[in-house]
Amino acid sequence: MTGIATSQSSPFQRAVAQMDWLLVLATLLLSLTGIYMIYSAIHSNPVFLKNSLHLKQALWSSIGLCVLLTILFFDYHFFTRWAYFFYALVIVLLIAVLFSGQVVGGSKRWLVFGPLRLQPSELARLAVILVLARYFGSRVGEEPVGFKELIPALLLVLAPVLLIVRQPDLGTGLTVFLIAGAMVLAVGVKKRVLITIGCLVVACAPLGWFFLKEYQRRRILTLFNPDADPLGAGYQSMQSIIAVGSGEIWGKGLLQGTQSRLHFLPEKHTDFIFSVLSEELGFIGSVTVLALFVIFILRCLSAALNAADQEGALLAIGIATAFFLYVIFNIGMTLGLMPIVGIPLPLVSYGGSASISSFIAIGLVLNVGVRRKSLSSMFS
Amino acid sequence: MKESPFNSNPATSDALRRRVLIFGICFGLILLGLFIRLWNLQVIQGEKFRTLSEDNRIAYRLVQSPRGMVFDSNGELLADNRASFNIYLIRENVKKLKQTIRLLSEITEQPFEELYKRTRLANPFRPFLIKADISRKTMAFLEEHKPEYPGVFVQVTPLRQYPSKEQASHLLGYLGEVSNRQLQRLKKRNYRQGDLLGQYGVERTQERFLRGQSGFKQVEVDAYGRELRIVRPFVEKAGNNVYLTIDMELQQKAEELFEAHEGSIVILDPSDGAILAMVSKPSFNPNIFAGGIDAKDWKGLMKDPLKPLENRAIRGQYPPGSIFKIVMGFAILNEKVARSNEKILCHGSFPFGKRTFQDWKKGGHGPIDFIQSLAQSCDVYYYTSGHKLGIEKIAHYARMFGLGSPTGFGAAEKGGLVPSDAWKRRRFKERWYEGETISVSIGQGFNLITPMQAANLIATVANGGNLWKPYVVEKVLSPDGKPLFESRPRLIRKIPISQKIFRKVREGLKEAVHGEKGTAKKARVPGVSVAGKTGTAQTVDLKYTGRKRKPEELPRKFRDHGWFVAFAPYENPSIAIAILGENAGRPGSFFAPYAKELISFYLKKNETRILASNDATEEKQPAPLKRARGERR
Repeated sequence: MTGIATSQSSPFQRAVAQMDWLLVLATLLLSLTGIYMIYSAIHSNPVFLKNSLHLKQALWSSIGLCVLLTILFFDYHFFTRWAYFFYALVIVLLIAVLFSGQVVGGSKRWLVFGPLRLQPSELARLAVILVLARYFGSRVGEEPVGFKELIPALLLVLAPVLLIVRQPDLGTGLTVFLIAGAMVLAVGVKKRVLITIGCLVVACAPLGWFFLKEYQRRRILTLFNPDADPLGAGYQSMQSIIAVGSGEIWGKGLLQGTQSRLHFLPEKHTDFIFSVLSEELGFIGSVTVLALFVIFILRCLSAALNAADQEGALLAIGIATAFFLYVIFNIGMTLGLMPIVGIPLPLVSYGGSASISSFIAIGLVLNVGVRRKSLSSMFS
Repeated sequence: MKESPFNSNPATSDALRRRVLIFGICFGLILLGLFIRLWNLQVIQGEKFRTLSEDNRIAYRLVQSPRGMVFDSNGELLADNRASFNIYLIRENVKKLKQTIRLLSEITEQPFEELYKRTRLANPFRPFLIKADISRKTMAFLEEHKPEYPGVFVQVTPLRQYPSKEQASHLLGYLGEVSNRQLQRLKKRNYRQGDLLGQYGVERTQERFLRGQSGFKQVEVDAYGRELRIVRPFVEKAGNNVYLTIDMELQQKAEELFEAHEGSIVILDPSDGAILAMVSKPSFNPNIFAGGIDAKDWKGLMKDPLKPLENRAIRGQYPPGSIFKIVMGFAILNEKVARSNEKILCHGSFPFGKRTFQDWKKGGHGPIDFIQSLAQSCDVYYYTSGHKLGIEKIAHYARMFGLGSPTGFGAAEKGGLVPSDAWKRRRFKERWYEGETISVSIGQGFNLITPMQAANLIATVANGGNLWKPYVVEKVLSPDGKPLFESRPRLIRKIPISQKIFRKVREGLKEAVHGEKGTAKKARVPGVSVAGKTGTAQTVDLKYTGRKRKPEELPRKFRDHGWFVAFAPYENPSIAIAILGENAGRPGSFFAPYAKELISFYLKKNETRILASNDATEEKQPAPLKRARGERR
């Protein structure tokens, strides 16, 4: 730990001293990597290049940084205090998107406000984390959570999750649900409750299969056997694996990836950005990025560990889990370990809503870190 | 430390902290899994995937669905497709570009510089067409040397072919590569650089029906560009089939008759304006355009002084000569300038001011009535009446019969010229002189008409005043036989002249063929009454030539045009013909036997067909196999 804040220092000096600079560095490096890889992914596509998506991403990241700094000026309790209001707003947006959302690739995910497009599901993730941190953060005692306490929380989570799944965006819906689950687990759940839920999940899993759409089922099946359907669902997965593998140790060099230039990686500047990166920068490059994410996630957990109160800790845990899940789902998908779901790689993939919501999340974690309890109180 | 207003929140419990640590370990382990997977894919299996990515590339191959076919009214094939072997090149896969292009330029006989430049400009990842329709020998050579020239491959595509070659070529038209200008307009409709589209004739006007869908299939290819398997197929969708009103046998007959001439023959069905044949000579072979025309061939066609690409039937404008007397006849009777039985004395000349206008017949026709004036084509009769009518009336009737403006057939059709005072003031900034009216009265002077207009004129006379819009597309059927378009005859106007006058004019035209002194006696067909009119259009005013010379003595452009228009049978017309011999140096009567040939051929053909179908009726309902044009309406 860096210096210990004294009561004489100004809030600004204290913030600078207590700031988790490692987390900030990881954030900046990942953003820069993202901007460059987006350029690499689109440079052979004249339409995307004309729209200079990479410069737009730079703009989004800059805006994100400003938002992040702004968040640091407020105590994080300010945000949790407004959590329910924010939550309600997000629910309204999610309902709006179902009615008047822009259809992209068969699902309604975007709300259009003039030149701006907003993806409310990206905000929903933050809303659920904030609202659960508020809900569980104020409870007293170490008694594990029982059914009585769990049911309102479950309703709070299910409302946005179901709305997101309706879009349909199964991947995001699932991650939001898993984030909530992790937060509840962190608070502690009664064994009886845990066993009941476990049994329910196992019993419902086959039922859920029937609710999946045909293409979603195929994506899951091909995960276990990518060669079974190499022309259809397995195709993208196979191509992504070839792209990653062909990078070997040192990569093909920047802008030299052939897989992506030949246009058979879909969504290569968004969901498949890691394939482009692995192909061009090789094992060295992809492991570096992976390491940056590991540092990033561990620093978030460290903020949780040292948080001043339960609310801050839960906030940091939720955000750490969110980043962790996005990284696992996205990279797992490009490496053929997960079904193909439309989950972007945080900070690296192209996308305005996703980037800014990531920066807000990082801002909140840094906030919790800056306002952690002083070392003296830890030993008291 | 400043007190936080939220200090009421409970502090983090040790249990929570413990769980955070457990989370950290779990997260770390799972992320380690990703690390191991990366190690496995990139380090252990990396070489395998590198080879896969280099050799097993996915390529986009253009698939061109066959273009729709074109048939005549009897279902005879006029345009279809055959398989052609094309050489393509994908620049991205080529190892030594200059060397490869040099070889290709040699075997396809194209200049190296030009081919190299074109290749450099093409999209490096997409197949670029080097040459269409290569010979089997060239293909065999390429197949043999394939390993030495990666990125070059041969693909089979449908190629347009016209079995009747030069015949009906102006009507059918040809294909050409889409120009940059057209591409701007057609991008939305999925046209790409290098696509062929109809640039002329029916191929052009029916492009939207005829075009087969094109698109890309994704194939996995090896390092030599060989297709290993199809990753994503493209479902072919052939173009629709177009049925024309043309009777190809009649067309062929007309083409053969006109083999040695320049000019045009247009044959219409007077009952609805359907085009039965349309000849323009000299013609061209549209097959040479099918795979992208050679620069040499193109230059040859463009530089030919006889302009073989010009469709004379609709774009050739000629003085009508005496066939204009038909229009004059209507004007004279309808304006009551002369009664039909009233005789005008013809001395063989018509003095006007300082000039004397000569009749074609030295010594004149003597006293002559309306019917005979048409039959014998008496010039003085029309000089006299034309002078009385005045240019504005003449122009009015000419326009009434569709002269002076395109018939509406389309395709850059010219409108000819109906002169008037207003026109002359616009064009020459000079007033109209009455002497010019005299020339116009016999179809000389500024008058210009197209063979199509002449045919439509005679068809309108034949059917009693229905000026139809000529059309050539009968129907369009989808490949599975669903009708997409069916033609409906369009009446431009009903001529507001009494049937009595029509009968008189027709009688005069019949007399021209069947009368003792008729000018078109050579058009007689045994057993059929034919009505016709000759016309000989001078290209220079007689005063410049002075005396009559033999056509061979004159340069080609000063030789006379010969016209002949006719319809038959007189009682119930089913065919209307206009023949124009361009600079033939022959009078219109020279072409009368051609009309006779065509009329007798067509009527005989339909007669046997009608008889055949009548026979069939006795047994069972006749199969509507062929539509006899003669029995419509």
